Amino acid sequence: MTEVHEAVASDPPVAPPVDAPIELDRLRRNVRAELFGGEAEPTRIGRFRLLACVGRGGMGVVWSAHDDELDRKVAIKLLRPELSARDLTNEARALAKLSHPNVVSVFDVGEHGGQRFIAMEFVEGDTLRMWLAQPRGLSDIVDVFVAAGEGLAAAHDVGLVHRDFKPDNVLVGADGRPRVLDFGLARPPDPGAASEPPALDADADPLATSMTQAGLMLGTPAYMAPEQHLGDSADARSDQFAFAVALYEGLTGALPFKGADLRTLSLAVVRGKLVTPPSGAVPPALFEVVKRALSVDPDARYPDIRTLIAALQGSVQDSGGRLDTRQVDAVLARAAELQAAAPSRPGLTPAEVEAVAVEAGIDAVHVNRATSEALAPVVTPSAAVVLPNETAPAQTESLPAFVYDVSITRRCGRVSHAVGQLLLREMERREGSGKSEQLGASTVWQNRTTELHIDPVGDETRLVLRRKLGALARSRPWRYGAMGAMLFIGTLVPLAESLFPHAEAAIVLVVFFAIGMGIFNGRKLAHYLHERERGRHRDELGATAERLAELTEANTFVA
Amino acid sequence: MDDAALLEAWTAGDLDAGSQLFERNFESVARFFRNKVDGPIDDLVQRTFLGCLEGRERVRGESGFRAYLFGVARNVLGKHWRSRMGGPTEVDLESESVVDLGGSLTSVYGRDRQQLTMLNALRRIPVQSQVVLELCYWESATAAEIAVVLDIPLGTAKTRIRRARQLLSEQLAALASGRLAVRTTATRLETWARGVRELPAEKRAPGRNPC
Repeated sequence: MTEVHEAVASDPPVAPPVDAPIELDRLRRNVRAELFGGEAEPTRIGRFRLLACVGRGGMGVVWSAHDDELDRKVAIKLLRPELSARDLTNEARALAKLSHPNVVSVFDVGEHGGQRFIAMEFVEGDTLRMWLAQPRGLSDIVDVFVAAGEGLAAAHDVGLVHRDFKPDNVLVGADGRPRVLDFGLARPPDPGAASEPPALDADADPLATSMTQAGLMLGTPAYMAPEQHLGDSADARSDQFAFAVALYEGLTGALPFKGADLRTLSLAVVRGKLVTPPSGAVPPALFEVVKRALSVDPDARYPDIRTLIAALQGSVQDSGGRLDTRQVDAVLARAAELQAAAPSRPGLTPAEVEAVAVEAGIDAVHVNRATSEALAPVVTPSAAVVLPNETAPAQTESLPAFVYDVSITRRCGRVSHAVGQLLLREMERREGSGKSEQLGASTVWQNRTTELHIDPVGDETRLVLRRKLGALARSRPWRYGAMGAMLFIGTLVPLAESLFPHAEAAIVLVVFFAIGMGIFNGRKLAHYLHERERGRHRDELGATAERLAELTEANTFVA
Repeated sequence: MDDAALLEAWTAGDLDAGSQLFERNFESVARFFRNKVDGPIDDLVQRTFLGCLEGRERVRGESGFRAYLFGVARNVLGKHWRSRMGGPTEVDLESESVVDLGGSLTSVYGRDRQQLTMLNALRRIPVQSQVVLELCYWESATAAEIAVVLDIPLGTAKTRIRRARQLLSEQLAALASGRLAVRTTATRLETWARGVRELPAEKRAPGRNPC
């Protein structure tokens, strides 16, 4: 900068960002023309006059441009030199055959200074990733994905596989219509060398398109299907997988497979270690659809994207019509209110938020239904999944405490302050001592096992009673499992010893068998007991609720 | 003719002089905006050069035209963010980073992953600090020049540089620990960050590049 200046660091610690020379050239000409007048001699790629640089990324630079021959605005993507070696003619032909409202139209493919360029429809709007960054309702998200899925399906019809579907490769136009972009640019590492794992760098960014040294794009690790991670060739069903990853991410805000680095991410994908979304985040029916599309085995996924789309639409309609996002917002607002009123409480889990929805008088059918659906699988499936020699317990562990609870809601007349005190005394009499808090207009009484919410709703009052069984339900299967294991060992092993006194190997097998059977049956028993107790708790709570309602009615006139 | 004289001539109507001045400084100005603004920067580059015509009496002899030019560029950038964010929210370039202001991380075009990580880290520190460091690194600016660019006293400028380096190494550490993509880069970055940290402050005379 100055003449006397000596550079301290001969090697600057960070190089400035480099633009494609043609972009710098365009910028210079354009600004120069604006500053000093005169016709700007336009920078051209083929017959296209570059207007402005609208984006740059791993693949290259994108401009808005004008097609002088056809007099229309287009987008030009100039691929990086490393990516330009491949012949794109086949893709271009296939894409040219494809005209679909949910696919970005490709007009032309050509070469400029040794670099490939693609001329395509100019879409005013955002990427799906940016679109999803705004708060969106569940039905809006599903609608956008359904439409993007139509685009994928249309491409599959003409034999094109995307291989790198992700939210960054979908543009949502200002008109709200999503269009899928960049078909077929990604390629498997080497068509000849199947079943070789792809040469992904261990530290590659899982959200960015990965390339080999030779500049072949492999896809984006976080969205790649197991077969792509394993180096097998990708087909339409791999696109389905990527689509489901993006949908899962859109619905929950997190990726379905987690890994601290690329290797563990790959392992999680290949082993199908799907992260269960927090209860209430995704309606169960919808999640089942996403889960199937995320199957490790391509044959276990939907036969094609169209079937998947139909299942998606079906699942959303099943859950009580469309989810009303205003209701959900109201639930969240109420949850925040409760949180603010009682800062000492630990943060609300999504399950609790759901519970709050029921309590807070936002009794939208679908919220109740989602809750009951969340409740339903508690006992049956968890009893069924636990097999002695499998690692299934992880699945039961992750169930939120809330789903074990039993709650009863009862409406009654308006509860005055005096009557409220009366109800609390009645609770203490029945359930033992507890403490009460005033949260806005609501009163909450609770002790270790039971909770009572008194919420005024208009002219009425809603009483919600809950028996908190989560801790018990979580610890009991393990205790019973351990007890069962000991019981079986205690009975089977001496029996086996007396039957086969000299077969030590057989004894060891019997020990393992006994442990397995013990755990299995112990847990089964625990779940059975739990289910039976739920009935008992429900009856008890029902009786209490009835009593409280009676007390209210009886005292309201007097007061 | 030096840049200040060219500016003088351009103001007097000599378009050739203006053109020369533009050619000499165009790439620096483009670079200034490139890592801070997503999307088109044509207008910003143009406004910066036009802005130079308006306040040319502020070109101070000792720090020269370039510091003045970047001062104008900084103002143009501030106006750009303010108009873009619009509305009642005040844009505070002292505390908000390009990423805070909605800039994306993927749009930077880097040669390799290490460069990408560095550029991303720069986009995560407050814009003001980013300006300071990028001028140090890419334009070899001195503390005195940075003082002119930011329109602050020399002593404050030195503090700003130290602060900016501190913020950057924090971001690098955060990127290294929290994100997935930095295993091999991390060691190189650590070495680099340590190098930056260990550079003694006393060695940095105003005439030398303090970075």
